[in-house]
Amino acid sequence: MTALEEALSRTFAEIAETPAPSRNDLAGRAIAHGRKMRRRRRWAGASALAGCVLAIAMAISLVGGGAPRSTPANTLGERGEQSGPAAVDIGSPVPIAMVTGGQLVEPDEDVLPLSITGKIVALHQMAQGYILREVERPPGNERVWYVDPSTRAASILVRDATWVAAARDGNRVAWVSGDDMFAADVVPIAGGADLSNVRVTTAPANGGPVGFVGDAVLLALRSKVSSKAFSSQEPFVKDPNPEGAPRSSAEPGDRPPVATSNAPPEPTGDTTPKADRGTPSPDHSASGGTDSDQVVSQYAAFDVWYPSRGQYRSTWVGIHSVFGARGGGKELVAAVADVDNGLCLAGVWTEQLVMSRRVCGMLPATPTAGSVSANEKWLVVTARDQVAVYGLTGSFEEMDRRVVAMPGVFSSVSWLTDDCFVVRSRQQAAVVSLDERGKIVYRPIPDDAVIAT
Amino acid sequence: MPDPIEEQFRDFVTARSTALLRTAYLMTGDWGTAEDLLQTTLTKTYLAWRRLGDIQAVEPYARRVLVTTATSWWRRRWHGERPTEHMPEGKASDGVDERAERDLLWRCVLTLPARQRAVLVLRFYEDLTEAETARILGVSVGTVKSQGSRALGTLRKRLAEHGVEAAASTGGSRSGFAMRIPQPRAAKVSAPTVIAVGRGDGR
Repeated sequence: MTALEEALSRTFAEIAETPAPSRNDLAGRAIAHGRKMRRRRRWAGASALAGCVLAIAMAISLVGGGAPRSTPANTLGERGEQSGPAAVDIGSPVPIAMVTGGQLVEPDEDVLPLSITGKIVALHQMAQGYILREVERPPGNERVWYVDPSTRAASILVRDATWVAAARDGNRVAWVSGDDMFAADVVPIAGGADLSNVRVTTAPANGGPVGFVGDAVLLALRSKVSSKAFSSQEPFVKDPNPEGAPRSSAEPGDRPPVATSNAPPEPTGDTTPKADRGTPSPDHSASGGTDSDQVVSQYAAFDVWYPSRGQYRSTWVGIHSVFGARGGGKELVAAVADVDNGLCLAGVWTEQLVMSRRVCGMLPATPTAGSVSANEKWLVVTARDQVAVYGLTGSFEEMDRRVVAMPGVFSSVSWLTDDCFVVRSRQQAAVVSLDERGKIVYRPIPDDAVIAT
Repeated sequence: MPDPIEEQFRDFVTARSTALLRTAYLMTGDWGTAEDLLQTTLTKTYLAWRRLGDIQAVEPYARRVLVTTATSWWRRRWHGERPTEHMPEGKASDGVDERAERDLLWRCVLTLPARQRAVLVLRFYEDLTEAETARILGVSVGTVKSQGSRALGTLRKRLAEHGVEAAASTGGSRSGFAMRIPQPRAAKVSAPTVIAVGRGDGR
């Protein structure tokens, strides 16, 4: 031990021996404060519960023509069937992580205070920590934080981003900063996390990452540009890559030709001048694809970028919404606008961006949110006053569907587990569990919560 | 009927709050802030009590919460401390004695960033090893070494800036090093006074 270290040791010992001020019932105050925090959580839950029960009552009323059903349905039921909720569980805790009231509440109810000043728009739960997306105030650029619950430390992974997407499990992030677009893996390290395997390419004009589908980053375009649009005459393409192996490209980033006759020539670069690149609205909470919570928006078009294949080359396709993906990201589950049939549920091969299948008349006329479960078994699509659950295990034509009437305009769907999701509107939120038979259970959560995916 | 968990918690607080408060004070440098920090730590510990299960796990948890809360960037608003180029004027020169040495060193410590201060407190007050310190702070041993080294370097620099030079002592001094503390200008002492303290206490 050096002289200075010895002096420190002695100084600390002497300073700490200084008589401390009197302390009045530290334990009692800690217990009282702890009880208060618990009461606050329960109160928040009760408030949500009240809204939930009201929603359920109204749903039953709507579906049953004013006469509440005494025997709730317990399966997803037949195609197109509309039903009220199956059961109501008002007492069970919901083991989910969320940000509410400026705190990160872990599934075990441990509370991590946050002093992030901006608006938190997304929370992703990783194996060891959390990824938070923050829109800085005044509304502007985004930052991505990693919060380590073991050390209660927060570190910034990404800053000054205009578009950000995080994978559902938080293990990957993609973003646009300046004229560049990045994708990287999030790797926990001691006391925090770091980015690795960072890939960079030129960012698209007025577009950026909104999610992940398999190995690809799903991109969305904010403004209208020349893009391929699907039509009712367009032929379906059976699996263009049946082996499932990555298609080799003549050069990094190349995509095979679009297999339609009416597709416009593939652009060789951005179709909008660089100067037109805008900053997206701070609440463009669209993250999407199999590895993200949802994509439902009025984006002009979608595209994909495979970071492992090099530079991005734009081939925007006019898809209305992307709900997620199947086959490990191989096939997008999307909504496409059909000139004859309105909005149709469609499968779109991710790599080629050509339609694989389509069924019309299944989707709500104006979906507000939607997401495919991580196990690719379910699709949930919300619309005004209703939540539709689709079974994806069969063909589109034989698809099971159950529509649950709930008042409200739902803005998001977040999957908590393979069979459990949260739908929320401005005034209420509800956790819906789908067991093996498709039973639906409602549970309360605080209204202001940003739920972890 | 008393809640057994509350009874256990009260016993824990009775037994350990004084030690935790002292550590909190060394972390914060202010008794009021230290008490706030301890109160927050105890509340979190109480909320986590059922999850911790084993009573043996409680104190390490509480200590970790205390240290990480004190060093977390979002808690800095509690202290309002910022590393500064110059220490604020204090009452260091109240005498040419060990108290002056201690106070000066303490005030230097208070100017350190929270995490560096935490490393020093854990290493030289709690007598934890570098590995134990790293575990509590949730950082690598290398980080503990670098933070500690940086802290000690900063202390030496700031002591020197105030005319205090740490010098190796060969004996006769209590703390093992000699510091030369200049008298206040008002005292009109032209030469610095040498404080020689020895290793007499055996630390």
